[in-house]
Amino acid sequence: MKIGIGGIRFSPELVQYAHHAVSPADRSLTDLLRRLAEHRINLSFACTSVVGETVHSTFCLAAGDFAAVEMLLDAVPSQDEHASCRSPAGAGDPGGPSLRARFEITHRVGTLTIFPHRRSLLLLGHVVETLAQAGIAIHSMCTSISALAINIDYLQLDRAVEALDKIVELPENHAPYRPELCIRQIALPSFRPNSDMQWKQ
Amino acid sequence: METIAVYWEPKIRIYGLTRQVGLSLYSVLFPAGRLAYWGGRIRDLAANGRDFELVNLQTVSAETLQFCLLLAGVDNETLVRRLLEDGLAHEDATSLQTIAPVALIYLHGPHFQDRYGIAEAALSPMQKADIPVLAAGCSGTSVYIVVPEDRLDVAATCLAETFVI
Repeated sequence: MKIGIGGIRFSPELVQYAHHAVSPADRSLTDLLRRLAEHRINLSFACTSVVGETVHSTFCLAAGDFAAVEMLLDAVPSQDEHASCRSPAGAGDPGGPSLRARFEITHRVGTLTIFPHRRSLLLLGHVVETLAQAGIAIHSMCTSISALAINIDYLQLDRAVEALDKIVELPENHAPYRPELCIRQIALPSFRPNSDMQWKQ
Repeated sequence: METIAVYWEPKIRIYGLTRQVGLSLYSVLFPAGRLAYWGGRIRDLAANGRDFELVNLQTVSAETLQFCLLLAGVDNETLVRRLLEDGLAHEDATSLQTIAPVALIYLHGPHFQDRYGIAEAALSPMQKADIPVLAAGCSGTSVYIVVPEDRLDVAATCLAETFVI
């Protein structure tokens, strides 16, 4: 019997970054997150978890932001960042590698969003098992309040839906899987909000 | 058609900050080729009437995946461990870590999925305050953070300084 769900959505093409910190003092991830925020680069997905002493983190951003992130990764860390980003591999040593050495990059990733999950281990287990049996590699996954966000190869999104059709039932009037709107941050160097302003258009 | 909108707020607004205690965090490391098997094991957990609070999965090396499951309750830990440990018995490259009790603190905000700086705003204060983040997930409009139960109050204070309801 199929499990009824509300819908499935695809993300635009993304790039995934993975980071593994072996020391609590390692601030290379938060340093990059700060730089991304300063440059108004949005993360559509982020997750982190600890195994033993190692903190594993993964995040995704729009493929269109890749070039800008490349420049941030190539930037030489500040003195504070040098002090905080040393690792057993030697990354972050003064005069040594940039932040780039700390991140593994996967191109052409797409997020398959399945909603609602209703906190169901049955749905979660079926989805993971079905995708794996179809030979679709899951790069990362995370739950939000209502959705399962699963990162797979961008070119496998359609095949993933075909595989999931065996176990989930979509509503008849389901919206297109692919986004019809594209949201991007714009640079507004002259914008200076006053203290009373909440919205300006 | 292109629409340009500008939104600015002095402090990031959220719909609420929710805390949950008495949780158990299970992390399984396993070979990537065994993903279908572990999907089946997670499905088996549902047979015991359990729901999840948070799930994440990451690639931790070329050959290894990590499943992280946050489940309510610490009293049924033995049962869950037994179900997961069945899968460990035949696999050398597999391990299970359990941390309990842990606490979850989560928040949701408007258009978080389309706005820059949200993950940084949530996670950086935790690191500055030396609060160990045991697991976290930011997707859609949600930010979920798992911390040791005895650090929950400090974590909530940090987030309340960054976000406003």
